Amino acid sequence: MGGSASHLSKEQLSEYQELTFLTKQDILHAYRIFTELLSKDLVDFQNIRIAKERFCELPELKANPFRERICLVFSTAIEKDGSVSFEDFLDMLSAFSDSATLEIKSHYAFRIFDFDDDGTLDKEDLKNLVNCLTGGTSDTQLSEAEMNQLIQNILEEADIDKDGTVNLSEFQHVISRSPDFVSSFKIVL
Amino acid sequence: MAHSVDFYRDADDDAVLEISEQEPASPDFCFEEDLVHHSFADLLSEQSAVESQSSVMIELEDQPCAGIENQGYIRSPPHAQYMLNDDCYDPATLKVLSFMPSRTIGRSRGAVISDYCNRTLRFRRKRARPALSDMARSMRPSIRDVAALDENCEEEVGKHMTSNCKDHSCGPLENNHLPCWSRTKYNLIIAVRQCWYGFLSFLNSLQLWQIAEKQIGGRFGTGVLSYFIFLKMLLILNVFHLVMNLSFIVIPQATHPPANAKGTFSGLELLTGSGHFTDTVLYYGYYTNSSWNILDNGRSKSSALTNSSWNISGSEASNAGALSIWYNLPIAYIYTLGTSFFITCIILVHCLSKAFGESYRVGSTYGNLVAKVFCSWDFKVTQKQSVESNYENISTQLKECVTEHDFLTTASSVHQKMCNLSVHFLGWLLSLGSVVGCTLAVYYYSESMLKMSILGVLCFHWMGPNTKNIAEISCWETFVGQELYRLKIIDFIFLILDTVFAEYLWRIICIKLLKRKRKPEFDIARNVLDLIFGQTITWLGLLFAPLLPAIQIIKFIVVFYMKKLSLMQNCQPPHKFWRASHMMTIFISLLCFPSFLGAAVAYFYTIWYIKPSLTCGPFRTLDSMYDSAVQWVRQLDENASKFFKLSWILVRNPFILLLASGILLIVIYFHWQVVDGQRKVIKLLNEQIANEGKDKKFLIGKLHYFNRKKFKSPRKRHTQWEDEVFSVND
Repeated sequence: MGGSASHLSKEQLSEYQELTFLTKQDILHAYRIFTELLSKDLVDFQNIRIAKERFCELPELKANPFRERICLVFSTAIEKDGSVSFEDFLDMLSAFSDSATLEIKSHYAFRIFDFDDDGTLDKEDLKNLVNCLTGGTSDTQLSEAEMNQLIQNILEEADIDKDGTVNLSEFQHVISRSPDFVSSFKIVL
Repeated sequence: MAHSVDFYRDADDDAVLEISEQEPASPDFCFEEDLVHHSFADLLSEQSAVESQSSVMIELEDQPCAGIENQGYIRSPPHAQYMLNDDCYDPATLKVLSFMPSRTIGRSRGAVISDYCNRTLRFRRKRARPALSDMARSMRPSIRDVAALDENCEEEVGKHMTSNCKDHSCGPLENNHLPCWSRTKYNLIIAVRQCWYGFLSFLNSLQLWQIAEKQIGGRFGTGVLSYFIFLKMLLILNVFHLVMNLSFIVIPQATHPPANAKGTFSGLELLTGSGHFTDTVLYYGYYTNSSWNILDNGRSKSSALTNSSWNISGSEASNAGALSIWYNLPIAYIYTLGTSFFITCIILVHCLSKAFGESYRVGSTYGNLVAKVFCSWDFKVTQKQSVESNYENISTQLKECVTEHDFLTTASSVHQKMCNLSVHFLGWLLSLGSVVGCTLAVYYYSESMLKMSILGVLCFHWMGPNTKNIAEISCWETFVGQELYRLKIIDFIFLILDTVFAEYLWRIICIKLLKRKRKPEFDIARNVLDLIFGQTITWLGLLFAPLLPAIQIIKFIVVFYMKKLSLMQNCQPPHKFWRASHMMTIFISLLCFPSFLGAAVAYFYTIWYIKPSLTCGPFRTLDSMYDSAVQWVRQLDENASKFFKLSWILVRNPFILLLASGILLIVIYFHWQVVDGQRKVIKLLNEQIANEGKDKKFLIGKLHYFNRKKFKSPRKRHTQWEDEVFSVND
């Protein structure tokens, strides 16, 4: 048991299993993938961080429009550069796993959608969100007028206290009434 | 450090904001503000920059219709929706606003989590990370409940464990402080929990087809994946049936084979099911109505060929003077069937209620725009092509929603109303004309409807007037079993042909002949109906051919791989947005209601009313299969086995059934009323929240007014609602 182990020990494995929603197989699989992402000569997997760009090359994240936000949200780097350590990686998989609760998932979804990290989803956040959902190409993107109308409609429906932003409680209120969220907010390694 | 905000009235009777530094009393303020409030610090610094550009703003104010891009000039939308825009407030008001609970919820929770991340990180760096059992606190912040915690109250950590984290009682394991008994108890609990996790891991590793499911989900999304999950569920159900039949019916009979002449085996039997197979464990006719002494393998007793003297255990056993447990095959046959069906019923009802509970909620938001925006991105999809088709899908849906909403809410003039009417009329004509399209759909789906009607006709045929002909067929149950076997084989063959023609050839036709760019889509509905049809045949055949689930299992395994291959090669991701939760509900209810219930009804009729054949099967010489159970219970009376007698009374008595139905209806009514009440409460709470929002705006307006009066800042602009607010004060 040490800070710089080159191999995942049994105690660490059971500790991770206790602290996350993942099973031992998932953790081992994650460990394998993480060490593959590291360069060959770096074996100190617990303290090393993978840069955001490298991490976003994972096949599960490559095509996902929210991949950068995911890296930024789960990263615990002090420099706030979105670099991901092994425990951040496990955190991410745990939040996206089958057994994670609705509250955890909705909390992280809120943080992922909050592009400017101010604690609420205001108009800019919603605009960014819709642009991510519809992709970058010109024929799928919404026009300016459509976008504004859409955001207005969203705020009308979701903003219960009518303050112009969607805060966490309102977001969770929408999510709790939509049964598809749990099955779509999943990443399987 | 932390701030607390207070108002007081000074000598001029103005509301003055006092922001003082004090020890935090409430838990919301136990984080480093710099880390969290940096975005608001930016906002404040922007605001002070804006103040210096007041001249520019006044110019812009003159433009008649400032676009929505100019943040400071948003007009109130026509349906009186009030929006707070911070840019019109002065810094003092902004500072107050930044501490409002609604603005700090998301950040404070996020701050708690990032704070704990930092703390554990510091912890980790200080020493080599200690083992779980030694450490006082080692919570991963990401799985904590977001009850905010003070940096100083580490003891709170233990108390605030919630169901969100897998609880670990590392706290009490500090060895110095516990009595021996508590320590043992905690050790025991942890050991049990470790065993449980080990068992769960083992179960997880047994999971079938996980990689395949991930591939399919990644490319085609959750909708198509639900077909494969349904297939897996049916496979597990059939494995259960097979295990029950094998252990209680087939193996006992196979170890005591009756002396029958067997024919020679030729390969054709695999298709027809008759010939050599007729006198094997595959069919009902092979089984005898004997009972065996389990303890002493040699002794077996067949019942006499008359109805009356069906006396097995009593005197024989007492004469022999040895303890004997008699395994009665006819009873085992009926009870195994009954138990399998009963357990299947419970499983199906449980799955159905779970699926139903997930897909229909109070105030559910299907078709709702906001739910579409927040919940429609499927994070499982990994292929670039599928992601792009998702983009298109979502974009189309959102555009449709916007135009629909527009259409509903815009006021229309007379001219527009006339246009609307004419469009409606055209639409009506078109829908009349699309009856042709409907008949085409019926033709397309007639294959599935045909199958169901075939089953219905066959059942009627077997049970109806043609049973007069049973004299000609010596063993009608075996005959029925063989018919079902053949039906199954043909269904299997047609499924393979269907995959080849409908998917592979259609793709070739689409691409080469019709020159379409896209491959055909995977038809979920048709495939699911095929599965349900196959399962219905299996259920119908359980009585007459106990090994039919084995064939079904083989068929499911082959179908899984075949469909997956065909899917990957020939099909493209679906265009329509399938709601996965609704789909499972629909599949399972289709499985329950026509399929399972139909099979159960057919069995009731067979067991109660139809006379079994005279010369074969475990119920030969009886008036009905049910009689065997009746006679057995009569015997139990003689041996005074109270437990079985009681259970028999409970099952047979119609009054018990009525009572059970009554209780069920009362429970359903109660739940319905509760749901109704909850809907009303939700409506009231929504109104209350909206009112609170209005109160807040009013108070903020007052605050703003006082601050402006105090600091005498130039009035930059008016908004409509500002006027309303201030007019109250004047």
